[in-house]
Amino acid sequence: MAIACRPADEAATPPHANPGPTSPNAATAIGSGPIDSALAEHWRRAGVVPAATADDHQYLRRVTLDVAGRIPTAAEVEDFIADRQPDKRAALVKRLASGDEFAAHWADIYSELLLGGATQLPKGIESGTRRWLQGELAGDASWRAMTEQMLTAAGPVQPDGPAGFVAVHGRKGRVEALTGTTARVFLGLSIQCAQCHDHPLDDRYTQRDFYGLAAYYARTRPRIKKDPGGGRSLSIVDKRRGQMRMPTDRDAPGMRSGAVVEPSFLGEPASIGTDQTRRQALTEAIVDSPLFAKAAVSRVWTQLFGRSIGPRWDDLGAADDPGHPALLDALANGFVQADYDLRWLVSTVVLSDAYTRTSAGSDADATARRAAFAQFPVRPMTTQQMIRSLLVATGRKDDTVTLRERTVARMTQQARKAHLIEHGDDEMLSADAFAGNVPQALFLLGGPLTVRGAESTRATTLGAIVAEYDTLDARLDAVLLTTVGRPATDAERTRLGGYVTDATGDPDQAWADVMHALLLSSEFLSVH
Amino acid sequence: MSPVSRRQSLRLSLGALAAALARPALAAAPTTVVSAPGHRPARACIVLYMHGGASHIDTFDPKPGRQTGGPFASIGTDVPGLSISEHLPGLAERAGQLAVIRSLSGTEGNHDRARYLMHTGYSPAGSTAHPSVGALVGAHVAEVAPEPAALPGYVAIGGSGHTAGFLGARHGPFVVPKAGQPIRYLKDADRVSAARRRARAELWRGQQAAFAQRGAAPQITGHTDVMEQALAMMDSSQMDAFDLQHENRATRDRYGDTEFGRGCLLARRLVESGVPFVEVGMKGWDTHTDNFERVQRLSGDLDRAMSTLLDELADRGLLEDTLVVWAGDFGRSPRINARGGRDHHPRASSVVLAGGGLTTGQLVGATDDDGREVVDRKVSVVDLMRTVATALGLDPNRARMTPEGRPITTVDGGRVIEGLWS
Repeated sequence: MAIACRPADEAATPPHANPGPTSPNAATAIGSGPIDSALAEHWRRAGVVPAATADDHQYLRRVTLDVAGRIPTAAEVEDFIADRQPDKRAALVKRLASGDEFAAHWADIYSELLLGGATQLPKGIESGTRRWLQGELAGDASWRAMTEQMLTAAGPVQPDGPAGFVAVHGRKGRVEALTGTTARVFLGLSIQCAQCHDHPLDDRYTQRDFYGLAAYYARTRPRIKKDPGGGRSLSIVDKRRGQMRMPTDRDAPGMRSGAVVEPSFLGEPASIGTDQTRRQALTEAIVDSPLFAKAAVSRVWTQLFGRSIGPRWDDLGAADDPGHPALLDALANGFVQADYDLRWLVSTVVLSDAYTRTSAGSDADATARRAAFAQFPVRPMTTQQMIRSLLVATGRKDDTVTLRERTVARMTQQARKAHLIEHGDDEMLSADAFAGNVPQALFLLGGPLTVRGAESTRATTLGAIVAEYDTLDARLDAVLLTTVGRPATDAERTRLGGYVTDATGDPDQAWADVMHALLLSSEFLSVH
Repeated sequence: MSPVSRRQSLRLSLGALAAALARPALAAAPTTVVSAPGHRPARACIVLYMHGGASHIDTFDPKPGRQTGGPFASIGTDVPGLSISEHLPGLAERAGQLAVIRSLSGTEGNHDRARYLMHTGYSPAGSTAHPSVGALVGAHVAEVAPEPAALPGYVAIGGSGHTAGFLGARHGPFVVPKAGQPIRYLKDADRVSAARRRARAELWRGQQAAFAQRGAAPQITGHTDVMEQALAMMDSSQMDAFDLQHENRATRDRYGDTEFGRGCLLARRLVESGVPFVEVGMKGWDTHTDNFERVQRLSGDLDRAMSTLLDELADRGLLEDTLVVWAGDFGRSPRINARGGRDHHPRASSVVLAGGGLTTGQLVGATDDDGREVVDRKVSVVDLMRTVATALGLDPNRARMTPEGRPITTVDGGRVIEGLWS
């Protein structure tokens, strides 16, 4: 068991060969062998020497944020550092990925991906879809099964289910929007440009291709109805008849009076079974396409590294595009073999050789290393990650996950209402990133989470630290562990410790000032 | 003007002068492109954006006598050939201050896509997040400023504006959902004194410096910039510009007791305080049903607020330096549908310009007898964008790199509309 594992606290570990297939850990491990091999080749081609391995403090904080959506508690940090098991990182990932928090965090991400681009979400649809997503992610987490459910959802259905995607994007006859979003989210294709004219930069997809894809949806009628009680119910019906027509130059927007277009899947004529609806045939074609796995893995990789492998995750071009790096293929193949299990995917990526690199280093080669995934980036947190982390750092020890999630949902909604964050920007991934603009910064500087949370009271973590520890150093370490997941540096002992010692007023106030400064720091607010 | 308001306006003007001296105007920027010999670029821009797409036929391009013309009468103006809707009498009176462009022709009939196009000069294209012109102006001014300003470079009132795209969120719009309401979180929940706030800021700067040393990334710089700007805002009296209570009742009444009216008043105050780009959104123009009743009502609010805005800018000597743009998603169909409405019509619509040292009192272009097609001096959205950029002293041909390494120019081609500067 010892072969595959990295010693925990070693700083500069030179990159070494993967655990080979003979290693027992590779077989039971989450299939990271082929990925790490592909990475090594990727680095070789890019001519980079990977950065050192992240130490335990860095790795724990990063992986807890990315798998469970929050920072680790001080206790979790101490436990992990003290853990002497050789495979503790794999065990940590397994533990985090099988919990409720994994489902909640990734439901946020997938909810934004699936519904984020829609205008004016009707009340209750987003939360209903998110609840369904969370249920799926807590269970099998099969992206294939989830896709099939979402794209073939039919009949009258409650918002707590998979029907939200088709209903939201396709309601009021918006078949072009539904088609473009379907292609983007599930196949990684930005084919929506071909809607009005042949794709300007990519001559693979014509306007005819776009409407051939839209033709699969020609008989689908999604509707969102208001219930007497104020809620919403969804209805998706597939008619027996109906044809897609090409739009002509004389048509007003939304009208299509040109020639009839039969369904075709990216240039291939459709094969629709006698008992199949067009939508069911489309779903089959989608999940069978090699682009399905590539788009899914690339999206997750981009989420975790802040940049995509090769082309943008939603601009993959074609299934067999020679511009797709071998790393993308390796990850996609592994995903298919793992039955499209999202838990496998996230776990595999966070245990890969790329993810375990440090983010430190600003020498001349750092940019090249980051571009090749040989150095971890410094990324903003999502809004929900930030809220959860602030709650963990400042809140009570006995806060349950359920209570916290309720607060997260409520505060996210408030932030949206106050235009602090917007849905689905074009820069899809920074749509939910926080602390990027001034109103958000004002929220952090003066908002309730930080101003009240940074205080030392009976209800806050800081209050507990001040009560539990007696010495300046012990308190300082506890504050640092709680916020940035590591003990204080010598410089911090001087600067922050000195600030508290020199404070003339209430010492609790001085600690609150230190806490506040840490909560607003890039180190706290980033994933790194 | 009453003596009280004159005193107030003088005070604010002095403040504005100080602010303007502190913040270099667009005119001082090194890459300034001058619109025409002898003309200096405008220092500010106010965009009045009609969400939903205002019917051009029922506002600035009436078609009296035509079956598609609708029930509104048109009224003449001092500008030869220019009549506008009877429901815009204030603007008709001030036609000499307007340049009415009746020949704008767009390509997007979907609201989101049209809004994107009108704000960036580009149609949405999958992978690139184009910055809005407001963000470009804000970024441009920030580039040449010797130190960060307390006030934002791009403010969006009554709408969320449009993002800064690949320029980075710190240049994104500072959104004021409702003019007159206090800026959230600005006063630090009254729990922390200014002295303590400064002490915390110093501690925070120490942490930032240490983290940057360990593994600096552009992300940290962006975050630091944004925080510093927020901190400056919290300590600045210039933020009073957002407080409409400083204006007397008479002034507020002149703009009208409507959200749009308050938005225009706030825009005047912000421009006076040195904000280079303000967008005021007006909702409700998507009149697929009951077009005439709704447009009449909206026109009343629009006419009052926009006329007062032009007057106040002129009174304060700001009009020459402030480009005012009235625009929206697209025009609306000549055909009146079964529910008394007009539908989306991007092929022909109207845009109105004022201020900015332009030669006003003119009419540009024309549509056919029904307002369906442009028949004279077609202006594309890109042409409009190039004209606006040039008027504000931005170099329309300047290219910036997206994170993916693609160069995107401020304006993608097009030509400046002729005859606007003479």
